[in-house]
Amino acid sequence: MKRTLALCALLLIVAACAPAEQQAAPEVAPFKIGFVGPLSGPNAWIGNLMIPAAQIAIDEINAAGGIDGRRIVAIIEDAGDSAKASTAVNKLIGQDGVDMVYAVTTPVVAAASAVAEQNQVPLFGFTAVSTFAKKNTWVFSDLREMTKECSLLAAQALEDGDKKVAFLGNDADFSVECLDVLKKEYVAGGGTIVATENKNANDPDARTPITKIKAAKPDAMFLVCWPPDCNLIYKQMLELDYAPQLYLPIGLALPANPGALKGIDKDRILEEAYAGDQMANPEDPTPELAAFMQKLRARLGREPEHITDPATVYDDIYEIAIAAAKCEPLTKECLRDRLAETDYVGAAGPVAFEGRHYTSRPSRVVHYENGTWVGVN
Amino acid sequence: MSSLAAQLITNGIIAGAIYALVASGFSLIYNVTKFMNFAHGATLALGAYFMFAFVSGHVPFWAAIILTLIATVIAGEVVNRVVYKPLRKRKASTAVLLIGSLSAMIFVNAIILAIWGADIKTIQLPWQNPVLNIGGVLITGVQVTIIMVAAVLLLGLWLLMKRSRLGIAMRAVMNNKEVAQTVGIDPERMYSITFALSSALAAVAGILIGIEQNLHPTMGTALVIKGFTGAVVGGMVSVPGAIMGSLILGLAENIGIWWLPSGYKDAIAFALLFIFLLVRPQGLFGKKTREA
Amino acid sequence: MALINYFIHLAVLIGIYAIFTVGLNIAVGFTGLLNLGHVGFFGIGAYTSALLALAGVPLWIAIPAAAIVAGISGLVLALPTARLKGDYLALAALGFTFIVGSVARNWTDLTRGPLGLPGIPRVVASTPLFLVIVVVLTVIIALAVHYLMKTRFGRTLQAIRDDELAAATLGYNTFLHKVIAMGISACIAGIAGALFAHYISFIDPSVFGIGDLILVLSMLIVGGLASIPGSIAGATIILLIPEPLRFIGFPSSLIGPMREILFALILLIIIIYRPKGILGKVDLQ
Repeated sequence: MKRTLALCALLLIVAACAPAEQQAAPEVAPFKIGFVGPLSGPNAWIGNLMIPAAQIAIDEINAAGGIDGRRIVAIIEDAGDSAKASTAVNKLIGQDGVDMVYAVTTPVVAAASAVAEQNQVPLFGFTAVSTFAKKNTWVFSDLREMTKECSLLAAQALEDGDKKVAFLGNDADFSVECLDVLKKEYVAGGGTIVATENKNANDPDARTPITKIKAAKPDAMFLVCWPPDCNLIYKQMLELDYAPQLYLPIGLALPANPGALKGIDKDRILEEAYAGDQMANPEDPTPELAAFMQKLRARLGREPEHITDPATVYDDIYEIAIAAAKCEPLTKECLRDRLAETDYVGAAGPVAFEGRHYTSRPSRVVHYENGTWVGVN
Repeated sequence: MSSLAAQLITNGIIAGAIYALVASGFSLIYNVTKFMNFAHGATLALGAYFMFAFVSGHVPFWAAIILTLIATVIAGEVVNRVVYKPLRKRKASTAVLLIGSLSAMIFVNAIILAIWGADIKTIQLPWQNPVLNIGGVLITGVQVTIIMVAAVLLLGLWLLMKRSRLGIAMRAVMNNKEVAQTVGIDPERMYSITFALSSALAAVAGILIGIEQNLHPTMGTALVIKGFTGAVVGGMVSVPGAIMGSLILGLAENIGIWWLPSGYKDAIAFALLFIFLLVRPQGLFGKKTREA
Repeated sequence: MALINYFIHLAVLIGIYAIFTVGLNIAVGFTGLLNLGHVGFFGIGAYTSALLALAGVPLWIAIPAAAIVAGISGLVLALPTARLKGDYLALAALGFTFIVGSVARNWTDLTRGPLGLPGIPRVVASTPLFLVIVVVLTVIIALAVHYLMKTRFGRTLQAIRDDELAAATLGYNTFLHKVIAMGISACIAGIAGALFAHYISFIDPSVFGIGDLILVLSMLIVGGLASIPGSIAGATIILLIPEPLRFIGFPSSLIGPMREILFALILLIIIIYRPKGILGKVDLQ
């Protein structure tokens, strides 16, 4: 019993003493951003892609003199689920006194929102689910909007005369949202969903869902998947000799991404495919996106799994820096209000909040023709 | 409609063969040491990543396989010495060994993540993977190889456990360690051999599954869960039974989601696990054992 | 100033997980049932309470209702499985958790599937006040279980753990005792789950995952079986151990693995060198 108490006391002392090391104060207090996201577990590849992307932006801004002379300091925490996220954000706000929090993936954003809202600290969430930004006052997000792209593609399918479609999704939040849109808009417009299949993102075997879809003989297939997942699905589709007309929401960021198409007969799979494009095509990049891709490759030391999302994170950091620069003195309320005014064009394209806390990147439909993606009307 | 059925059955056999690769090593350990080694999946993942490392290092393909087998067997023996042997020396129960295997699993998964990172990796074959059309059913060369290896394992492990001297010695240790010792069998040596064999099986599984399904650090966890489900269905006390059980599991999953929404695939597997544990815990091919 | 909030948060989590571990201790430590499905009851409690609360049911009804539903599912699981041998019981319970998780993920009409349930109302807005509530509940539950184990019912459970055959020959209905023990254990897990949902304000199917199972199992083993103070100590240690690691500036790619390695090592050291756990009375059977 005594040993236990001693052990506990030791731990608490270590925990309390450690912050003293960070008190070597510079002249101007740095701007601290707390990052929380999955760096271990099944979604580790997401955190390990987005956070380095943010760090590229931070290093650049610091090299250019920081935010009005203030250095940005990143404090990084690993959290893949809501309990860990809650602890991590409490620590970032309570212990590290961060000026704002950046959370990656939906469950983390969900838990972080509650803590940030309680403590009145701005939170930027990397999530395709807009609920948290809409229902809270301190939460922001500006990611792709799955519902809009599915809506556009549903309309395209109806226009093209594809009356019967199949849906192959996964267990991610944005997949559920897309299917909802299809049920509402595509079916209402006269279409029929002949097959709905779901494949857990961590399940490497999509062969039976693909076989069932093939047997249902749809005119086209809607596909929602993460790039590593999509790679296996495409591989298995080709093995099963099934390469239908594809509709790819968030296409160029996810299913039509170079990472997803690695080692795949691209022209066969993408023949006549329609995809959602957020004006950020890794194969035909704007100069800003191309520059970012170079930096990301160099930072990671490998080909990134996908491009558009980390580019969005990179832009988010710039948006935060711009908002912070407008605040003298730098208070959290001011930061929140200036973030709502964001109107910026970055590596992932233009983004404008127009006074709200949530916006989505503009998207359009693109069509695969002769080896490249071409904008439709 | 029947070509759909044939393809689904084939899908089931392929999935079942993959699970059988995992179940074989898992069941072997259970049969000799009587504990459930959840770290088997992590050993499998390690085998896959070793193969990836050798192939990326431009080691010729067949040499890479041999090196992977050796490296994985060594790693398996290290885990045996560091984790299980001290526990056995302290007369730990099988439940404690199970907890020990969980901690080994976490440790190995973390090492893989730290060394190789979280991004998905692929093992490229040095030749094109052919797609075969057998009577309307589509199957690839790699998948045929997996099924053949599972069949060879079925035969080989059956012969080992039932007919060979080594197998009889292993079963003696499982049934009654003290009596086995009196006839001159050294249990620790049996455990080492069993772990070596099981790690080799894990390496083979890791290589084949890595080629077929890509690699990520936690790939072993889901596989070992399916593996022990297959072993329960076939019979935990029978190594060839575990392989047959895995095949049945693969078939049940793929035929099951013909009717049920495919998101329920996992639920089918676990429902099968549950039902077998309740109704026929010795599995399809096991014999009912009485407690000593 | 704000540092205290961080410690309060940790204390709340310790309280919730202590309740969770005490529940598991009833099944594993006192009755000898290796219940690897305990997380399933936690999740059932969390989802039930969250769904009721989001439908407008006041919390003082929702949380006890969640506990009862969890308790009933414990009885339902125990009825077919209580007769099984140790290892098989463990696997059956594990299978149960995965089945419930799969249902939570797929029955989107009820649970919203992978989208999870955001915006779950809190018990009280103030976290320090919630901590007081959690501490009070932890103490009440700990004392209740402690005294329960001293009653004839409790002593029978321990007899069943030590030698089921002997207990049966002495005329005790071992089956009934095991079922009831599982039910109580599940009920307590449900309370912990409900408190968790109302604190974090968000719940999704990942709560049924193997990660939380390993966590609570570690808390039980480190703290020690058949010891209520042990469960509280175990929860404290397991939740606090990774915290100092945060203050070492690892590169982001190593933060995740380092924590897991430390965790695995601690668990291993405890089961090798102190298998009864810090305060435990018995070995794991």
